[in-house]
Amino acid sequence: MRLDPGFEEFVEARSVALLRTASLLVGDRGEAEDLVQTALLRTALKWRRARDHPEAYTRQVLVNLARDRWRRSRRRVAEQPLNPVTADPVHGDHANAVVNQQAIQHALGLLPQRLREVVVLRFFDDLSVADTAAAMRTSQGTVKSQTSKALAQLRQILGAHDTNTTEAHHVR
Amino acid sequence: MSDDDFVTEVRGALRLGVADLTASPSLLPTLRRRHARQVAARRVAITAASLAVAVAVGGVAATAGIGPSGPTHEVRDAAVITDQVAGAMDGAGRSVVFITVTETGVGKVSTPDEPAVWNHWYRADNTAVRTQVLVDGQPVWDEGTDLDRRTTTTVDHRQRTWRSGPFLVRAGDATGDMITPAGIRQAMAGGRLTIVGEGELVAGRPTIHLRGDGIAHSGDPMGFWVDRTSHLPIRAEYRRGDSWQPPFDLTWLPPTEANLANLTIPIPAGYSRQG
Repeated sequence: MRLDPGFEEFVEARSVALLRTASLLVGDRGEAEDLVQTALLRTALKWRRARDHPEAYTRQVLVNLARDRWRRSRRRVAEQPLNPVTADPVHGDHANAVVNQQAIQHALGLLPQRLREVVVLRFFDDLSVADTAAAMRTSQGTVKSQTSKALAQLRQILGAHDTNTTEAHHVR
Repeated sequence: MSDDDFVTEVRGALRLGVADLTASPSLLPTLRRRHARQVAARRVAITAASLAVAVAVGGVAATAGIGPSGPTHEVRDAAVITDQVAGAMDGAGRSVVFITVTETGVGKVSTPDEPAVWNHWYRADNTAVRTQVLVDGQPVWDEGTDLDRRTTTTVDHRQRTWRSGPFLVRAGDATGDMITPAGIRQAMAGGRLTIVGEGELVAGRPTIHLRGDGIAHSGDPMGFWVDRTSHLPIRAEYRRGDSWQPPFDLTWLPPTEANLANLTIPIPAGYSRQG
């Protein structure tokens, strides 16, 4: 039984975006490729149900797979030490941008799984609260509260770096 | 820094971090292959239902060869086996047959930490089949097909939804991957059915093991173990590629009200209908 042409078009159009989302959800590019492949396979097998909203369907599967992976790995992200990252004002805005990017991505990896999901879905995928709730299979109220919590934790993790460097060397 | 500014910075950082990531060119070819394998594997739920009926109705004969001195001992035994199985199946046509298979690893439903149990029930007269999938003892998916009326009902317990509609078969694929008596006869006539030998004990019962090609519509080779006492097939197997898949057992249940009820899917209260 062949893949539906509509599904193949969907894969060609959106697999990169899904891969990038998966990479941010699990923090590992190799794992992200496996997850995206599995999620797309499940979408293909349920194409009749998924074809009206394939990306939303696949994203929901991806979130579940990422959670399964997290449970299996039992990673205690809070226990991972944060490498202190400080900007060197001598190198200016570009260096600050790179440092900020790395610091933020590192901070993302330190968040608990659900907070990480809400950051990736809301601010990387730019999903609405409603669509984020659907992807995470939770309520909109929970998404809002977890968004606030996630931002607060990110600020806390970034801590002195955020206060000392971002105000002085604002990154656009 | 305001929340808006902070969010903008977070957004920018995340996008920059994965901007170089691209999909592998082998993604779609890999999906095509895996999809084809999964679809074939799903059909076990329905094709297994026809296996026992086809064995009895179509008859089974070993093709040990006919030498110049006449049929061999194996061929004579195969003829006896065929009659016995056919007779047993005719008598058990109203039975409910039960199969259970455990899916492990990253499967259609299972994950490495959570195997999925696939339970199948079907009428031995091939009029109804039901598949229920459980994870950690809880049902996650339930599908039943009335093969006479060609309707299918599906319940998704995770989504709390259900739907019911025609059991669709595409043109040119009318028999799906089901084993038919005709398929068995063709395999027999074409010399593609063989007695493997005395089988292992299945549920404490001595068996005879047989295998054949071209029985299923897909052409996948199949095997089955026939109970020497009841003459019913009580174990079956499929071959995919170069390897035989793990066999699964068939339990024959009398057509009591309780056993027949297993073919009906209950729709839980509060579930919404789809489609």
